[in-house]
Formats: sequence, structure tokens, C-alpha cells
Amino acid sequence: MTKRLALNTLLAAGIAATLAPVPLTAQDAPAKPAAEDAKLPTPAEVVDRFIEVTGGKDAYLAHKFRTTSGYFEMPAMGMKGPMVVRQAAPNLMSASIELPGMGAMTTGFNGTTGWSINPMQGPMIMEGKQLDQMRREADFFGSVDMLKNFKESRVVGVADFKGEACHQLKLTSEDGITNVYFSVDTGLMVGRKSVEASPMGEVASVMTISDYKDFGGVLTATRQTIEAMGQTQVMVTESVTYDEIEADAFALPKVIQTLVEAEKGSESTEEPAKDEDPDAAGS
Amino acid sequence: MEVKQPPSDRLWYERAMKTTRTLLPVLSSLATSTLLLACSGGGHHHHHHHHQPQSAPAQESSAPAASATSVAPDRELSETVALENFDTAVDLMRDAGALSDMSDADWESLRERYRERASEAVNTGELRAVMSELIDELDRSHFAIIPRDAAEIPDSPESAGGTLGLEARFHENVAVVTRVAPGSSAEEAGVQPGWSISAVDEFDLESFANRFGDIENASMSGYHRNAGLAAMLAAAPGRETVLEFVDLEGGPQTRTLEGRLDDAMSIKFGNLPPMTVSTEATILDQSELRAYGVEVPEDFTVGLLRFSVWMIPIMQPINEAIDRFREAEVDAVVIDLRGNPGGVGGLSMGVGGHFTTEATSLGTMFNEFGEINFNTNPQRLSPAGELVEPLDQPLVILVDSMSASTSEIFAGGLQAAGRAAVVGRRTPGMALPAVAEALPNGDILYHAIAEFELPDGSSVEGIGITPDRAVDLDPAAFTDSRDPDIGTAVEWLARPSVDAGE
Repeated sequence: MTKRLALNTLLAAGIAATLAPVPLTAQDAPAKPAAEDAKLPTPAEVVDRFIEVTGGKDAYLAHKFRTTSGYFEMPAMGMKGPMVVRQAAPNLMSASIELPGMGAMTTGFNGTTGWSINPMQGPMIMEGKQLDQMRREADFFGSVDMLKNFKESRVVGVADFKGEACHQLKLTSEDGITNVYFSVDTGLMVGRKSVEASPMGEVASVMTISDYKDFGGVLTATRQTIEAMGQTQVMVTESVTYDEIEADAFALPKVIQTLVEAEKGSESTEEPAKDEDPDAAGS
Repeated sequence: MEVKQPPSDRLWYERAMKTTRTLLPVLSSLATSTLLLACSGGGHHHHHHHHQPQSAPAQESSAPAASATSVAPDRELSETVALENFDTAVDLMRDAGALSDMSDADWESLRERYRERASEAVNTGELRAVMSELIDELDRSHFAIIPRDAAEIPDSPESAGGTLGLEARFHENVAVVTRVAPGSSAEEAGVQPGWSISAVDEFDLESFANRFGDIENASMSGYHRNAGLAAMLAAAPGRETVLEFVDLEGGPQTRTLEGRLDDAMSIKFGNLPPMTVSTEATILDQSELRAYGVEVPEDFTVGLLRFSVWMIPIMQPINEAIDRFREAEVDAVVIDLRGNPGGVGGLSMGVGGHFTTEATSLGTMFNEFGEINFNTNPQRLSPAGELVEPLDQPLVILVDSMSASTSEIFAGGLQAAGRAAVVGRRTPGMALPAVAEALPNGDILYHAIAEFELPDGSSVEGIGITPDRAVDLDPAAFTDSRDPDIGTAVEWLARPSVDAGE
């Protein structure tokens, strides 16, 4: 799942408006009650059908690496630039978006550490909800086994998403709720509504997923339109390849590594404090 | 629409339009129907005056001829095209959900009142005028129609603008020289900070100032007036401008200054017009500080950082400057944001991170869809990638009536956090996050997408940032200091037991 990648990148980057970071928006998914007597599929059935119509589990499992190339666009600002997302099983990821006048914004996950670097704010190490979301995002087979990353899942009903009748799959995790919309007609995932965590707070976003194309036996959405804070961002996939990716591509950038080591160092120097007699504090 | 402008008025306006680079910071920052860009009709209700020279370049371009709609012989613009642009602009502003005091019904009522006149616009200039009037009615910053020509990159250095090397601001209705750039033609001609400018190419500045009526310098109107002044002081390289001054002794002085290309770089950010970016950093020691009229202890040094606009190219030089300040163990830091009109808001979080050891809120942008906190990202790496601590030296931020938008967010945020003291004059109160969106005819609609409030919940828009130490710009203040703001800042920083942000 590369969909949220740019979203995360942007949130981290705080890109957005010309004068202000314009992270993504979002209003809450209008919770629509399930049709009373509708025979709703189970969450597993909805996900399995999605996997089936997009190529089948074997097609997904046939690959261990994935490079997605295309572009990222903020139409309102007249900004557009190349986007590359590299992923490897089981959970490695690195992505970059380059915008004219802005430079490269990169983000990644090496199995343990989630990070981002952007020209506005500098390097950052992810923590808390943002790290949880990143960890899920980096799960290479996260689509196939979508439910395992959430503590609770439920098909809440048939809901309208941008004019299409969809099974609304409500996924609950420690970091919040994500609603994913699967077309009743085709079984394809067509949208999601979620709240994205960032160092600048949480931002609701609505993502429209469309234009599926076959890449190596897997039908892949090539257009993702994200609406957040009233602004629109578009990610377009032009190619997907499955060639092996060198491990270096997922190594922590040096600046991130320095920050990680410093953090470890400060944690280890803080540890002894735990053994101190609490009554001694302030004395 | 009858608009009669004095020839001298047209002269500076046309020059301003041609020296695009000078206009850019104004655009990037400010946003409202600017004096320079919005071609609103003369004689309407506004106390700040909009200029509409009939032959201004902005008006020479008409809507693209691509439209299949037939155009009546007596007009260059079809009603269909006019309304398509007008309605798109209103829709975009309404749907952004930025202004909490504007309901959808308010937007429709606004649309209704201007739509007929928009439909009757016979050319793009008239259409822009009607749309600018509508925008003026909002009375908020960060709304403007930018003619598409202004948003394009100048194709030759001659059209790219240049500088005479002096900056000036209105003090009441007098234009006071506030800065003379080293190595500029202004410096070579002996122009001194504190001189007042009475005329530019025979154009009387006092009458220009008076046309705005009785306004506060620290206001949007004041910003527009100073932006007009800045445009008059722009000059294409090689072009001569005759300036009449009154010197510090009250005597008349006349100088002919030549426009020169400065070493600033021009960059393009999305749909915004190109902007000029420059960054300067220096460490001032005792002898240099004397020129600012302050006496400091022998070893006292101040890191002085100044940048023209909040755009990405400032980051590397700033990171390097901060590193130099750290290495030199300067006693205090002054960041000069006077005349800095704003830029990319996200940069305030990175630059702020050089002065904060914990993520620190500079404020929050919000609209009907949600909110974003502007939290600093503490900068713990040197440009060489070594682990360092953010600076903890006392910090003063210099501002004036031309420090807008991101500059106000940065100064107001660090002031509210108790991390910096603000010195200078009140800022104009123009701080709304905004985007620049293309309209069907290629013009750019610059419009707010959110409101902004400081960490204490106070608004910046229409209010501005009030300095902790106010400095009057009276020419007399320059008698003892070539820069009274820096003098005041350093005097305060060097006092015993300084406590930044107190």
C-alpha cells in the first residue's frame, strides 16, 4: 500500500500552502447505518474479494520488492514533481517526492525506525501514532492481510463514497479509526477516510482511489486524490516494477542515524534515574 | 470606468510592473488586492488607493483567445469567459472554508452584488478590477488577483529588475531611508539612513502618501503604501532614477542612482510570481556595534541574520550561519525580519528549531476542516551532520510594518513562547495561510485557506505583532545610529542579566 505514503510525507513535511503548511484535511466519514437486513459480508470476505479482483493472493505474494514511480501534484498551488516509492518485504520502505522550489522530501521505515527529512523542517524521527501508522504503511503484504494490523474490524454497512455504493470497512487500531470503502459492484477499494498523525497534530483526510491498472499481475490504483484541510493533493502512478532493490535503499540516512544514536544515548543515561529513590528527588 | 491618473503615477506603476522581481515579495506575502497588482477602479470607497493606469502592462493581456465563445465586436472579453473566471474565483474562496465569519450565504450575496458588473467587463483589466473590488470588501490579507503576466518568470535580466540599494519606509507621511546596502549605487552616492526622500523622478512622495489618507503604517493599507514606495525604488539594471532627499541636517540633496542587479537569486514557487531570495549573516563585534550607537563589553558579540523572504533557498545559508554563531559562541542573536513579507509557513518550524530545545508551538492554522499546529522541530544537527544543541543565547527579532505573514508567525510565536523579544514597529497583521490557484484565463487567484492564531489564542490578522521594545522611525533617531532598531536590540541584549523574551 503506497497510498498513504505521500500523505505521511506531506504531513511530516508540512508542505502545503504557499504561506503555510497545508497538510491534508478531512472530515469525518459520515457514519451510515448498515442496511437492516442486508447480508453484509464479513471484513475478511470484503478484503479477500478485493485481493481476488486485483489479481489474487498468489500474484501479491509473487513479489518481494516493489518500485512505484509517478508524480505528486498539488493542483491548487501549481506544483508537481516526481514521486518514487521503494518497498521490500517484509516491512522496508523509502519514498521521495521532489517539488520545484521546494526540493526533495523523503521518508522511510527500516523495520524499526520511521523517519522523514524535508527542506522546511529538517530531519525528524517518528514516534507515537505517526510511527504506528508508518509501521502499518510499510507492511509489504499489508493489503493481503489487511485485518491483522488492526485490533478490530467491522463492515458497518453499505455507504455511498463519491457516488458509488460501497461496503464500508471500519478498522480500529491503537492510533485511531480508518474507514475503507470497497465498491459493492467491483470489489475494488475506492476510498478511505482516516486521521493522519504528524508532528503538527492530527489531520483528517479523505482519499479517493481510482484508475486501476495491471502491473505484474496485480491491479494497482494509479490515481489517489487526497483531500485534507480543504486542499487537494494527487498522486499518480505511472509504473510499478518488482525488480530487486539494494538494501542500501532502505538504510537510515546518516543524519537520521546520528539522531537515533543520540536518542539511544540519552535513553541509556536516563535509565539509572529509575533506580533512584523517589523520595530523594528534590532533596 | 473613468480613471484618470497623473503621468508620474503611471510612470512608477509601469516601472513597478516591469521590475517584477521587486514586486514578488509583496505578492508572496501579502496578498490582498495589492496596490501594485489589483487593478481596481479608482474612486471607490477604499481609503487605500488602487491605481489603474490605462496602459499598465497588466491590462494589455486579454483572456486567452482559445474560447470558442463569440465576442461582441466592442469587447475583447466574452460574457461567458468573464463569468467563468468570476464564478470560479468566488467558488474557490468560498470552498476553502478559511473565513469563519463568512457563511455560504454571505459568499452568494457577495457574488450577487458583483456578478453583473463582472459580466459586463469588456476586457481582462476591467474584470480584474471588479474581482479586486469584491476581494477588497473582505478586508482581509492574502486575497488577490495576480495577472498571469506577473506570475511568469521574466525572460531577460533587463526585465528581471534590480536595485538602487536603499530601503525606505513611511514614518507618518514622510519616506525615511532605513537601510543603504553596502556596495550599492546609493552607498556610493553617499545616501545615509535617516535621510527622507521627497521625490522619485519628480514624483512627489508626500502627495503619494497623502492619497492614502490618515492610515496606520502597521496595517494592510500601510503595507500597500510601503509596497508602493518599494516599487518606486526598484530599478531595472542600468536605468537611472533621480531622487530628491532631505538630509539629517534638513538640507536638500539630489542624487542620480543607477539600478544594479544584486546577487539575490530569483526563485519560482508554484503559481506565485518569482521571488527574490537573499540571506546575509554576520557576527558583529564591539567596534562594529559602535556604529549602531551602542557600547558593549569588550568581548560581546552578536550574530546578525537577515533574509528577504521565507523560501527554501534560505535554509542552507541559515543552517550555516547558525553553526558559525555556535562556533563563535556569540553572546546573542538578532534576526532581522524587517521588510520580510513571508513565504512558506513550514519554514518557521525549521528556523524556529534552531532556537528551541523542545517542540514549541508558534501557533495554529485552522479552517472548517481542521487545524495544524506550527510546532518547531529542534535542530540537533550541524550542516556537517554532527550532533549539536539548538542555540540558547538571548534572541531578538526585528520587525516593522513590512514584516508580514510567516514573519509575523515566527516573531509572534517565539515571542509568545518567551523565547524571543521583538524589537521595532508593529507588524501589519497579515497572516493567513494561502494558496495561489490558476483561474480559467490563466490569472492567479491568491486566497486564504485558513485562519491563524498564536499559541495564546490571539489572532495576528488585522492586529499584528506588537514589539516588546518599540522603536520610532523618526529621522532624528538616525543621528546617533545608522540603524536604531539594531541599536535598541543590542543595547537591551547587552544589559546585565539579560533575559530574552522577558
